[in-house]
Amino acid sequence: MSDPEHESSTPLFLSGGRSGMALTPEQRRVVDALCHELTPEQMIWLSGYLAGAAGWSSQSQSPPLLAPQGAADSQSLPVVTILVGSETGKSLLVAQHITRRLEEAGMVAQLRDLAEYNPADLRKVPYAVFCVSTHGEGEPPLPAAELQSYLQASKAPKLDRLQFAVFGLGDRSYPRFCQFARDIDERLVSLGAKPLLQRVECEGDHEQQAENFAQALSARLLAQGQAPRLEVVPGRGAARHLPTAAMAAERLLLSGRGASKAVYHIELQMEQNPTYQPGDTLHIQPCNDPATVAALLAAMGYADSEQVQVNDVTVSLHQALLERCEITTVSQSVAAAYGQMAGVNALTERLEHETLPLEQWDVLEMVRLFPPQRLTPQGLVDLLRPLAPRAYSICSSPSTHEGEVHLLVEQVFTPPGRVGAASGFLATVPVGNMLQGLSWHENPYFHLPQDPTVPILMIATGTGIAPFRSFMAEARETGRRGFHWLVFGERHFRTDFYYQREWQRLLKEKVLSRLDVAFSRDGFGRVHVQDRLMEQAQLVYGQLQEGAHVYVCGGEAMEKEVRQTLLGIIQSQGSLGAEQAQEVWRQIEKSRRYHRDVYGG
Amino acid sequence: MNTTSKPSELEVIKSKSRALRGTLAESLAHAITGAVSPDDVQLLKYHGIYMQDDRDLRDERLHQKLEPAYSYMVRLRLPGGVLSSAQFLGIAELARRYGAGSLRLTSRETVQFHHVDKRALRSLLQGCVALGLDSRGTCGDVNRNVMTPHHPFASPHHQAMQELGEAISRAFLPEPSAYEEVFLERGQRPVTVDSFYGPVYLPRKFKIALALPPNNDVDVFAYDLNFVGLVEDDRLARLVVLVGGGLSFSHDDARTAPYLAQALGCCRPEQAVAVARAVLLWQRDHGDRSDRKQARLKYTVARLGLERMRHDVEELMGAALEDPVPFAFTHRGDHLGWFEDQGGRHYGLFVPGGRLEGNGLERLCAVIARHDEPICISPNHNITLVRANLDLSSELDALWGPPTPMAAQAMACVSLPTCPLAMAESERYLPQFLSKIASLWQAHVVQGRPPSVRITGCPNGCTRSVLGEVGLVGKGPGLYNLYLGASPRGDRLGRLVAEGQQEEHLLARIEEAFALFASQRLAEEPFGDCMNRLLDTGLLADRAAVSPGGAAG
Repeated sequence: MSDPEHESSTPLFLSGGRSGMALTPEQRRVVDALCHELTPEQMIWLSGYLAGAAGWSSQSQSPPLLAPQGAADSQSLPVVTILVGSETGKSLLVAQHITRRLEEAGMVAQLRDLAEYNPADLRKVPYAVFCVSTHGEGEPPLPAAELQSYLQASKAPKLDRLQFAVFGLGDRSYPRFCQFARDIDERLVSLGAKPLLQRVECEGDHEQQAENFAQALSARLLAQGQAPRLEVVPGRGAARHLPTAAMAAERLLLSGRGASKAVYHIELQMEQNPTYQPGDTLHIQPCNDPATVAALLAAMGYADSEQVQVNDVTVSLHQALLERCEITTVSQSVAAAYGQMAGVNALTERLEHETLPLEQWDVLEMVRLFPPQRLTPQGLVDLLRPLAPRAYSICSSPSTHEGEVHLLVEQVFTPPGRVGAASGFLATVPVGNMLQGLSWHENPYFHLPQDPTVPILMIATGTGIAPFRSFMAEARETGRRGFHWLVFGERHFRTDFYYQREWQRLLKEKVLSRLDVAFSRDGFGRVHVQDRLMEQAQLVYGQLQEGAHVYVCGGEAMEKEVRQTLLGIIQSQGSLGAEQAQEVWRQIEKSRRYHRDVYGG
Repeated sequence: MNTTSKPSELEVIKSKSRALRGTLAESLAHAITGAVSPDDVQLLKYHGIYMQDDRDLRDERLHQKLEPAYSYMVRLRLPGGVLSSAQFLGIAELARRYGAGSLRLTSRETVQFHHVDKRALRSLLQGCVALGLDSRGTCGDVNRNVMTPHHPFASPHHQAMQELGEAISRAFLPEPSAYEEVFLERGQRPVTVDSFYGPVYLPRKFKIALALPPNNDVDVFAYDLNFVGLVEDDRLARLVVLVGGGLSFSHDDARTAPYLAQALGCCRPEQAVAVARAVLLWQRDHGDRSDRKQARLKYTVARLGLERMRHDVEELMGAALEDPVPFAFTHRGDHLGWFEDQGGRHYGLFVPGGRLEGNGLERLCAVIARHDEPICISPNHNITLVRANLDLSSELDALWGPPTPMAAQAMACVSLPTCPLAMAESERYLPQFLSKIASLWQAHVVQGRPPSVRITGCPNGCTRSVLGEVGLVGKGPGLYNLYLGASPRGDRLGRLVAEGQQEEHLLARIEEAFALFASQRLAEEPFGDCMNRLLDTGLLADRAAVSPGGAAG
């Protein structure tokens, strides 16, 4: 404490003790420690804060430790509103990251969930940052539905006082990548708002891009002289955990003999005791098939030992293709980039004039069909998409399966014989092997309701049943006693009824209150989950009236049908007009009683 | 009957069944399982349906967190095994649609669908009704499918026996309201107690067969009630009534055993239904309802005596039976290939293992599409195409080719993987077993008619193994009892010469028997008779002498 060097480094304006002003040694120790951590901007802000606090003190009010919204001087301090429209929690992670960075830079940042945000408030705020995902064919995430209709309305107001930035998240394998982010961006400009930054369209490593975006944003705002102020952010945190390892303890093929699919139940013994909740996901960094990588290297005529740069790190080309690059699928943009960079004019021309069966190709197939005229190893690595981690809904429950994470994995063969990166790797992992680079991710919008008596309606197709196994294991363990209704759809009763015995037992134990199944390819009518809902329209409506939460997990197209069906049920059962039904539905979405976890294909 | 004993569990299920409805409608609608409730499993039988599961996949599916691969076997009521060609083609189409494309001809002259999904049962049964067929009472504690001499078109006497068989079949059908309500979906029917069977039906299954000497193709001594037709002055003059046969037994219950039917008396043909009625009523009221292993007519007769039975039956009939007269059978078996009789020229088609599926079924259908006359299923799970057109010759011959002499008489029950009773392989084991003993036969005997070989996967006796000259009865996986010495006319049971043994031991005993047959056979002596004689004389040892301690216990 008496280190002279330390003392001399203490900023002068905090060193009042030298002139005999009263800080106890303990106070002094706290201030010193704090100053050690603060950035120069924060110190400047703190001086203002303390000055303000001195004012409150003189009115014998204690300074609020945390300034609530609208308190005291907030009128004079512009707030940066971070608006998040998230379904999987990924956009929320980005939004939290940006919020944290702005706060660290001493700014007032307020994170708001679009589901609960009134878009009309956009007229009043000076700064808005949108963190939004895009789903299906360019659609907004559920919580952003109201924002979209507000912005797209012909009577949308002028927003010429607003400055904004957009961070979009998406998946480039969809044709309308980040379309919703683009829509917001263009519409705000047309309504007179001014962009603070160029829009970011992010796929894959969102952490790095969020960091870059946050830095650029705070620099821009500071340059505009946005007054710094601290604010604590409400809302739930979507925690991301550090990668861990696990041992494959069990691998079972659940698909019965003669099945048209191969679906595996995999039990992982986690090295670190997992702290996930039912509904959360496990991310797995996949690894490509070594034989395919070798064949690709041979087809390109490259040596294994070639060195390339990936994210500013030098690795061997072999390693890059094995662990860093997506080679199992070919998107339109990858094909176009390859056509250009490799000088394959035939490919470029055909891409322009016809629809090539890209969904049947992998990179090797593309290279075989269209051998490169010129392409450096670095060029190849640069044009490929990063090998993104695969997310799987966890189908175990922490209270039942201690120390374990269970997954339900469909091995994807597209086209026949070729193996999808993560699923192929998981489906073939020998029991007893260690898996690295796993992390569980909170899926904050797919958790069980806090109130254990609230009814839940779970709708799943295929491996989408996974989170509901987790839900029901949890319900069984914790004695949750709401009405638990599962509607499950797949192709064949005999081979694709995943966890059939467990569901039968849960029904017998009355943990699961009701189970409806729809098997579409058994030759007894092409029934789907939405047909079962329709058959039980009265019960569905009754449950919704009792405040049921609806969870949908499975394919995008199914989710759309289910949503339409539910809307139709609300309309017919409630004898409502289309507008009124829409309004009821909006309320359900707004109060976050509709949860979806869906995927393409 | 010990009337103080508690009725067996099944008696309770029957009595509570609301005339065979149980909770079948709910069970069929229950989409979470391919099974029906345990009580409904029992009641399904009365409608001709057995719940089964693929036993090959049981363990695998347990591991896969899936319930057993449940499916259903549906057995048609087909007295005498007679079908029109249109009905046959219709059945084949139903099998394609609902039964995994597979049909099984049975040793009791009928057809079974297998691998039927619970959700397809109604469609299948309604499809059958549209063809003029049904499955009522082909299982359960009622009169089962009635067998008649094969084939019914061979002569006017055969025709007469067929008509009697059909009349008996009609007379003792269980009341149809549940069948019509649950499966045919003809709306709700009043629940009424079955006017003939009463609320609890019979104590146990009941089988009836009719035979016409000299061919005992139906194995007329093997069932509860049997009629042997006697022709005098070229007309069917009288019937010898045989009662109390039944080949089923339990490995672990010494009170059980295969029985041959005994003559109760004689009646006129027009009395057949009345006799059957009296015998069924007698068994209904006197059979053991507390112990299903003692419930069949054979045990009732053994308990109460044949004399008492005859007295009661005559009283129930209000008429006296004549005393039995002697009759004689000279052989069993089917005519295969082209043959002629009073009814015309026919083709006997050998069907390996009684199984029709895949390419074989398709080719057979193509032939039958050009055949306008009836088709009859034989007691040896073969087919006779009545008055077949000679033009079909080459196609018929090409179907499965002519069988070897041993295969031509061989039978096997369905057994694994679908039959819930199966203890050892049967249908799937028959081809390899036959080829092994055929080579032993060739090595030792060369000449003479080879023995009839019959395998059943359990002691229930579906293919009448203990009446096979070489009879195998499954006891455990890969383990069989071996019976030798049965009469080739079906009128003497075989004797146990190896108990619960593996193939190697069975083949050794059979080889020993073939060698003895080659050296000891009297002129024209059939294999079964020869073995019986050698067992009597001790030249062929029974199981105790050859394999001390070899019994599986």
